[in-house]
Amino acid sequence: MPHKHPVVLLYVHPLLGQGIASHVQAETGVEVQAVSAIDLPGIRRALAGDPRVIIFERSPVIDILDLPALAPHAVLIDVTDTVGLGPVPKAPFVPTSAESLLAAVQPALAHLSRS
Amino acid sequence: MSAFDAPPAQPIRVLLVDDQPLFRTAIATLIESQDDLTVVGEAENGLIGVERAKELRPDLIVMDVEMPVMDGVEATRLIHEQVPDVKILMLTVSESEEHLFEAIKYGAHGYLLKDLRPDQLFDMIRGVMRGESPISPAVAGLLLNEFRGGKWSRTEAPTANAAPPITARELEILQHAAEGLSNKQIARRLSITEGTVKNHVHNALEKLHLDNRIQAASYILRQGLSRPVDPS
Repeated sequence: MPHKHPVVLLYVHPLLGQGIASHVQAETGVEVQAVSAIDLPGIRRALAGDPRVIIFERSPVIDILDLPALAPHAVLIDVTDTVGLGPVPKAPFVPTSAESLLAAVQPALAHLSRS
Repeated sequence: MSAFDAPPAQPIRVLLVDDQPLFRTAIATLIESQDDLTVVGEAENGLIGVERAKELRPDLIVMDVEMPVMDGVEATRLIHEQVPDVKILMLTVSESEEHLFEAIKYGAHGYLLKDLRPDQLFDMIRGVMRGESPISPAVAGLLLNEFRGGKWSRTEAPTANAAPPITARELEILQHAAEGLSNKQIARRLSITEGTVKNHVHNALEKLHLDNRIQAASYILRQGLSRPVDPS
């Protein structure tokens, strides 16, 4: 399946989700699909596109999903702590700044362009 | 569109104070997408926020509450003392009564939770610059409950019979403001212009030595000056 949306962003806080989506899109030129992290059907549709990067905030829905199994080729980036709710990472990578976020996103997209 | 709705000739200059760099980037990206808003600086804690406020003289500060070194409430107090013209809009995950009351007491012009949509944040920034004082519904309830039966109302003697030092019209407008109405909504309800409402609010705040509409709403409630409930 073609990667229509290689970057998926699952957000709880619209300010954070839409802001990061706009920033990543502007910096990488890749369209980011932002989906509410409580919209299970929307999340399943987004993951069905085999994304290469999933940036997410934890939510009750995200917590019951096995993201690595559902999106085996994706780099998982947990931004839950960004709004100040405390460190509860579900992914191995938790960015602390926009620069570190992009540093995690860009290699995954570079791999996509070569494949 | 009335003259009061026209976009300002210069964009509203915003300073962001939040300890999370990624959140600052997200908010800055969103704000910069608006023609009438611009981000002039960022700060990672309250102390740096105070310095940036003095140096940059922004129109408005979007201020987090819980931050290392100096929290947003203390920074608000210092900025209100040292750069009194700057509007301060709290943007936080904290629903703590203490944070809410202290922020308002020290001069915050609004108190918002971070679960807003971007368009709501933009509208509220513009509203603060028009003299409005937005509060997220979740914490507005805390505020009203506290004044109805909380410790503030228990420790202050009722003074409902004391005449406030403002005109009847100014009182009427503050009563509507205390119910959460915007200047535009008050103008519509009283069949007067939004500019007239703004003038009355400004004059009443000066006479009462209050800084903003939130404090005015607190005053109305504490003094027992709320409008009677409309039976209809």
